[in-house]
Amino acid sequence: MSDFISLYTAFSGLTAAQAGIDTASNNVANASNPGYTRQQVDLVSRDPYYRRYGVVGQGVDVAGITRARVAGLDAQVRLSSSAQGRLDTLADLLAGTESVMGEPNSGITSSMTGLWSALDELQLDPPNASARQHVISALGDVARTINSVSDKWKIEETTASDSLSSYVDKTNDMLRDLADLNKQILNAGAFRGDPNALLDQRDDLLDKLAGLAGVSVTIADNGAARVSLNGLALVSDTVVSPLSYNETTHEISHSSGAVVKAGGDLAGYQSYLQTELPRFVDALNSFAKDLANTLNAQHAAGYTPDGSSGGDLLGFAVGDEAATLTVAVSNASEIAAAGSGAPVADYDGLNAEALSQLRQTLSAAGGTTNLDDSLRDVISLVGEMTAAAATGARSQAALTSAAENSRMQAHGVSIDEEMVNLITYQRAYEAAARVMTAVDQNLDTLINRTGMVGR
Amino acid sequence: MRVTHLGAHQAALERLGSRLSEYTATQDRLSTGKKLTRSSDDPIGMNRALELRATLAARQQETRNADDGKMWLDLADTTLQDVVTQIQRARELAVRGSTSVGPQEREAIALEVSHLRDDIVSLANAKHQGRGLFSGFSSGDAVQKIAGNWTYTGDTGQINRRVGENEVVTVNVTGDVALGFSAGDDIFTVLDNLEASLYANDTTGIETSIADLDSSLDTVLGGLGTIGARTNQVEAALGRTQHDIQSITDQLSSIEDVDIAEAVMDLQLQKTAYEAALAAFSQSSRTSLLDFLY
Repeated sequence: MSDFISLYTAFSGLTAAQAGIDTASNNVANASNPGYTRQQVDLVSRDPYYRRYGVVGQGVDVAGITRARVAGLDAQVRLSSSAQGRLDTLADLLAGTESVMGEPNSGITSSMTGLWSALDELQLDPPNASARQHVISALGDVARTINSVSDKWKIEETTASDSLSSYVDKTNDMLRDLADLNKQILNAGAFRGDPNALLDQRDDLLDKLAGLAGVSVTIADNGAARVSLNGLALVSDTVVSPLSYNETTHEISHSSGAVVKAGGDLAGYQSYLQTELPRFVDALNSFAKDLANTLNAQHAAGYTPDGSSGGDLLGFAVGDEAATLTVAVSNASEIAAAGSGAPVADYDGLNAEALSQLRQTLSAAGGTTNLDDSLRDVISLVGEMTAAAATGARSQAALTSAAENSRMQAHGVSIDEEMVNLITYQRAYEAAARVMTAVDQNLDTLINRTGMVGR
Repeated sequence: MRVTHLGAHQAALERLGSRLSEYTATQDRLSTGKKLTRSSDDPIGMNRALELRATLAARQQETRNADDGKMWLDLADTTLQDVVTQIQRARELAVRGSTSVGPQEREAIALEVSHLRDDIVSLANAKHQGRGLFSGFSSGDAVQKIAGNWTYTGDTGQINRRVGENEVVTVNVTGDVALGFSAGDDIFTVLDNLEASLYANDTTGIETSIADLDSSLDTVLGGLGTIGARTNQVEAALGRTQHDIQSITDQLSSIEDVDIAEAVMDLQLQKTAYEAALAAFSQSSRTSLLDFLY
């Protein structure tokens, strides 16, 4: 056997080179598959053989084909894609919220401008029925635009809540997929199968879970991925603890009943539903309330043509002012344009003047600002939050793509590198084959040429 | 650093994407002509723009208010000028009546005086669009003879017009002041007395009436003076408002509108940058070790 050992050594070289060529060819084939991790052949030298003149190596073994994956890069990508998911979702939702306001051309501000000018026109000609009717229709216009913004915001809220609910379901589906993959990977490990493709699939799933729910990931010693939120396990080996969503409080709870703070898309929806939108709704409601109370108070100080005091111009339901704002007058004769009653002079427009002067009165936000300014504050609030979310999403996008890019550079296939590997392994194969030829020739010399001295 | 082909492609694609999005954003700005289309584009700028829009609407309304006020002042002015002419004519007649003329001529003068009084009554009760020029808020006649006494039947309502942010001008004079009722010597009673004195050939009475006519004339001229002062106030306010409108429009445009020259320049630069990125990508993506192996 000892004389043939070099043949086996050369054969191990051939096998190793073959494995290298196979791996390189698989890498090249997957060069444009973004979820693929570059694989490499791990080679170890065989235990040496002790000859009487010393120790000689016995060739090489293929220890395995492993993925060139750096766990730290995965963690970076998942962290930033969680933040990205949150900011992108929030920015999209806020942009929708802002655009339904219709500012600056067809929103509440332009209907308010219409109201002030209708009141001024009424003062120019107090007994004119069409000027009075115009005030009523301008009031209607204001009430309708405020109602419509409020209604559209309610639709946005319902839509966001429905989406959040289905995203929680989707997260649970993905958690179950992950548990399945964990099971297959554990089995593959047990039966010495090759789980590389499964591992790629699982990493992809973990990336998506991070972007969706901001979960934290740890890979256990047995190879299973463990996923948790706020320290509460969602997937542990093959056991799933699903999340549930409460449509009223917009809270997300763990199966243990504890409320968890998610990241990713889920956090974007939650933040919108729990923080941003309620602030906007409150601001619009208090504007609607101030508007109605201010106009009603001044209108009550005036007199209608028949000498009675002015009734309410605008009505609302307390607590839901913007949605329920309605015009409380329907008839031109209910407008109290006169400043003094009993008897009311036809051309007395003093209260119409006072009503139009309300434009400048500090009657909104607890008497700190006028109505127009307070409306603009609502619009600015929405605009500033939308702009902040969009800016945040943009700057996060740079970080996310940098993290993804550096991971892709580490995990992805470089065709140049594979070509060099291919050449290396091809040459190694040729060289091993050459060794075989040399050993064969030696044996030929030993077998066929020995004992031929002097022939 | 390790570089992979897919990674390099994706990075290049992202850069191309961001170049292209800058380019199309500038194109958008140029084609709409607006740099502010929603509040989140620039919350502070939009707040200012909305404020300016509201102020602009208020100033435009003030222009309308001032035009309307000026029309009423002009009408009152013309009408009172006519009253002045009639009073001056009555005074001339009274002076003639006080000289040595015959009773028949006095009677003729008295007749003309009564016509002049009727004229002044109809001038005092003049209406425009249903509203009396001198009757305050009331829509009825300003002057009526009730139970043999000339009475002011309007009210003291002051018709105001808002002609500036905090500037309100009264654009009417009421008959009780301008025609002498509040001072207790209205022009109509004066003319009635003159007529009676003429019929009665009472030269002393005529002399008294001449003095009364002078004082009535002063009262009416006083009313005209008030109207003139208010007209000046309205015209000054109108001038200021129009100037304001111009400067607000300019400011609004500088906040909302795109600087065309700058945007065109940006577009050109971004186009060049985008083309350069495209060219670089097409050059670099073609090269690989494969080209040099055989």
